[in-house]
Amino acid sequence: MSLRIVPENSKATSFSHTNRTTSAPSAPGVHDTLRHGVAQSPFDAAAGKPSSAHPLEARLKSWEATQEALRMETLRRTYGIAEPVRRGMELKIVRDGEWRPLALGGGLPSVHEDILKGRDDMISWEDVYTGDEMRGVPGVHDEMERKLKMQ
Amino acid sequence: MPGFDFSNYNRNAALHAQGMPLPKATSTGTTIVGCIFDGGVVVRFSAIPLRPSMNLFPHPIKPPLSMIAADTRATSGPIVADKNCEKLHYIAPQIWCAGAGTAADTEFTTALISSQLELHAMSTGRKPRVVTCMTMLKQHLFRYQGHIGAYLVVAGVDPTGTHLFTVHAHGSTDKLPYVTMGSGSLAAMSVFESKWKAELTQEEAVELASEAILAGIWNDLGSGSNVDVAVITPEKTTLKRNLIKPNEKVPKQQSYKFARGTTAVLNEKIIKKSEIGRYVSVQEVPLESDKMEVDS
Amino acid sequence: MVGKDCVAIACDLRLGMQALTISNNFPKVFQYGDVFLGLTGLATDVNTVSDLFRYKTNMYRLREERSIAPRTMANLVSSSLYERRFGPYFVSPVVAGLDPKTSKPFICGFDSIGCIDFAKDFIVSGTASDQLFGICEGLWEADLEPDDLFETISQALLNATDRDALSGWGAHVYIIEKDKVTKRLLKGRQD
Repeated sequence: MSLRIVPENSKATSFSHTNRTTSAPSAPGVHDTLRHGVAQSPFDAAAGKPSSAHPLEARLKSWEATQEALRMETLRRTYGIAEPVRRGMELKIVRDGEWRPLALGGGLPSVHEDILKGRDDMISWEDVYTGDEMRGVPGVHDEMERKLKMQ
Repeated sequence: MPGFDFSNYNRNAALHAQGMPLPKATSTGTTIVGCIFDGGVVVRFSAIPLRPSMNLFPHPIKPPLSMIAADTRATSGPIVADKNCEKLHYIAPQIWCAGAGTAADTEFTTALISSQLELHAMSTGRKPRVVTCMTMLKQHLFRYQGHIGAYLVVAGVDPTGTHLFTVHAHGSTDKLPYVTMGSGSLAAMSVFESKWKAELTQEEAVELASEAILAGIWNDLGSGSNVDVAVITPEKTTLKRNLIKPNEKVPKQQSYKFARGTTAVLNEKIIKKSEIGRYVSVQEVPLESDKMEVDS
Repeated sequence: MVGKDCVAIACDLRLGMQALTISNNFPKVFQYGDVFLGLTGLATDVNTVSDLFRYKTNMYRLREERSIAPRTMANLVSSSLYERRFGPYFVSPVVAGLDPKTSKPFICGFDSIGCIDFAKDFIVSGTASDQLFGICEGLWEADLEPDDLFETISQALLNATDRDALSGWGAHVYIIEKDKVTKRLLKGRQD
């Protein structure tokens, strides 16, 4: 386990549009605007798939996870494994206890989650540009099917 | 994923590879300065008065004061994009920021940090501190690895005293009694290096900072137009917008108005607000709620 | 351009692919309620961004039950462009309109990543912006009546585009006053 402060430099040397889920079956690789709207698919976005080969994007996407890993690793070294496990469980309970459908602006962390992460008094671009304004909203059935891995 | 939208990046890179020029971002191309001074009323003493009655100084001990100043030119390449832009940004009532570098980045970074600092102040129930602001700025900018091109001078007064910092786009910071930044920083620093001293009255300090900015305005092509100054004291902040205007446009001696009817018009359409009903019909729908049957 | 209790916004009509002219009827000024937005740059982005702001202003209208004010529009444009800080649209917008409460003229321009340039006199953008900067500095004066403002903005645009190979082919000029909007199609060189 490392004490990494910033995400490692994972600059993608190649970028493929073909593995996106937003293309039409007849034209793989081309974003299907009619079916999926002008923006990235909400499922792609939730999975944290990068939408470009910009070196900064990968860094920003894994920034929060790296910081969290560092915090947990520090806690483990100080208090033993019980502390990060407890925090992880608390976070999971809070996450599982609340579910907002994407159609109602889900995807952003809840207040409770923010408090547990110590981010309740912070604001960053991720809070300002939520990105769900232009994104096509999936139907609730579509979302449940994916959630329950029926699709 | 929330946050910045990168989805055009690959397209833009491909377009650029095919010879499309990338759009030029407005740069502040700036002279910004900041300095600390004692306000001329500091009575320095180390001994604690022996009796309470001896504590009757005409001027109480005051912390040093700080100020920041900036020119007002914004450039886009060699073109002057804005002749009178505002480069002194509000962070908190007693914390102000002067910005150089990419104009949009300084504007948005300071706005975001201002919100974050306010949120932090409300959460802790204390007045925001300048070091907190500086730390937030450097952590934010470091995360973006210099891609956000904001070069800032942060100055302010908080319960711990007066502070002055510079923050560079990659996240490094300095703490100095007098600082300059931007393309005109060399010209401005020459003034500070030769004339700055800690014992300055407020008027002298404003004079000195203005002179430093003027050095940038005259000797640096990226800086120009007017001088803005903000003086931050523990009591209040005074923003002196366009304190010195050495480059006012000379009024035209004659009018170059064209005679009406000079331009050939092929087609004319007038839409009057009063006649908007011709294009859109707006009707008041009578309220049906009275007629609705309600179980009671 | 700002006049006396009025503003004007004008655009040329060319759509081109480098040196090849595709169309001579491609207006670049869009109206959202009482606010006007001019967009120069890459044509595909002009279309995308104009539709994006059509959507955003309509949503604003539904939420707030009033049409968007120019100053609000300026901040909306600015923050929307900054969202794409690292993959910008290739456009440089211009916003013009009259404040709905005070009827004071309001104009501003933006770079492609959303830095607002507030101006009291005029804003230019596009391929002929270098020419326009010069001619507008020369011709613009304060407190022009609507008819005089029309002549000034039209002559500035026509003469600047005549010295720019990439723009021209006629022009649209909007004069926005408190109670009416006048849209004129100008006769311009077709070469």
